[in-house]
Amino acid sequence: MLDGLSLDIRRGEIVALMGRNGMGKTTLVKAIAGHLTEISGSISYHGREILGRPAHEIANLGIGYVPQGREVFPDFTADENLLMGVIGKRRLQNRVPGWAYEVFPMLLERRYQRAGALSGGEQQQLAIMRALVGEPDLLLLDEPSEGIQPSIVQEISRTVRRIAGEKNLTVLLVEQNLEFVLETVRRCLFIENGRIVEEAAIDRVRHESALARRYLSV
Amino acid sequence: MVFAVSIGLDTLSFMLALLLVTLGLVVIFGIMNVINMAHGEFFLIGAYCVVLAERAGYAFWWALLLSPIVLATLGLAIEEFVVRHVYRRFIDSILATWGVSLALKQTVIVLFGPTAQSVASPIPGPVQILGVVYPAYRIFIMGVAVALTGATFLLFYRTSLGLAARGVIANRAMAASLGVNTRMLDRATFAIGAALAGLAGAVMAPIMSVDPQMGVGFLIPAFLSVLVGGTGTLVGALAGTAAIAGSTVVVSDFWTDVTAQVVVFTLAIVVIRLFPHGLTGRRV
Repeated sequence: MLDGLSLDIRRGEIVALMGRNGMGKTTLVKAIAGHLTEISGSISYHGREILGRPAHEIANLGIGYVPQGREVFPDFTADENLLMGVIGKRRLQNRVPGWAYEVFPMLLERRYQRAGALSGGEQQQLAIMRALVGEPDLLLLDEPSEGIQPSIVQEISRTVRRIAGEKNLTVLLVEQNLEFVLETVRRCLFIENGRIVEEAAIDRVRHESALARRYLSV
Repeated sequence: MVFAVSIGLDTLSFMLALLLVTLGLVVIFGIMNVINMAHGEFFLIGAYCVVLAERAGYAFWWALLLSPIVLATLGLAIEEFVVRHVYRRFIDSILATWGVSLALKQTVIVLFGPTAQSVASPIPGPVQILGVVYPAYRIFIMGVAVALTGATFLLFYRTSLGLAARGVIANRAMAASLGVNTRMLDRATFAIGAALAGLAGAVMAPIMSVDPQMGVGFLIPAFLSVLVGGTGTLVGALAGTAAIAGSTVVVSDFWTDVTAQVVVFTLAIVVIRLFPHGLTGRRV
């Protein structure tokens, strides 16, 4: 599904990867996170080959993953979900840092509630924070705005931008929601049939409406 | 009154003994979702650890240390060579672990012979409880069961290791992407379940006939307890063992052991039919 795809992202940059369904967006993110075994090629991260390494090692190299559909642990409390984000990291202590609750105050209110009982937007914030408490250098965000109310989408956009700035975090954002992308990133890649076919600064995407139309809607 | 206390003590004693045997199963079947047909043999080998320790001239109590170590090691090996390959393949896991069960049982027969071995009670003599004379060692078993249940609960529900283990079982791929080494936790969880079964065997050895068939008798009620109570929770196992042990003791006190078996099986079928996720299971 991926075909000779190549992309480079600079440290501290937020890049969007856009394209229609089935074009290989999620496949790419899964490959980086270490969830595809039947794949050949090369993915290097900080100059080290990571393709073929198990997912838990990739996570410990500093790649945080927020999958499509959020995948919070529904039977765990919000706090336990956050704790899951740190207990697998060799260099972190086994407790949730206080700043997690400052970024999303909702998490403090809901910390002892089952994650499965949270709204979609709250689960998304939880999933993002679960990745962030692991102190990644690279964050993979797969369709974070999917099925979420607009006010929370805006809050997520603001937060991602702020944290990326503060922590020099690199973000690869996979999205179909153009508005969210326009608000969040400065550079946009378009994928089609497993290849990056176009790369554009966000101002060009904003003004050239033909561009988004060609690669997004049918 | 004395009769009531006696039935109450019998029920409590059987329930806690069953709970002790069920604990390892709660971990391997209830939490990991692996149907381990060799569980009875883990129990059996735990009991033979007592025989081994006594033959070597060590006191009974050393067996309580030896059996979990032996079974954890054996559990690690079985997980690595057999169980690892059949996770999430129910029928295959039944067949594969049944094979392990046969192999282990035959090994025990080769090493110790087919006849029953007897183990002397390390705490002989009775105690009096509310007018009822009761074997002291049975009281000890009850204490061990309560303590081990508490320890297992704390381990799985109050420590990071337990949280990680439950996370791996709930969503393996996601846990891995958070940096959790899922293979390590599979190994650890299976070994803990095996060690619990072995320790149960050693603790129960003095009140049972230690022979190659001893695992079978407890295996079925233990599986039933987990099914009736609901998989995945320790509270479920508590409820399940209480239901199974309570009905077994009461029915066999008034009628016969055979009637008890029939009644308990029927009740279990009815409960599982009415509550497919067990008494404590959430309806999804």
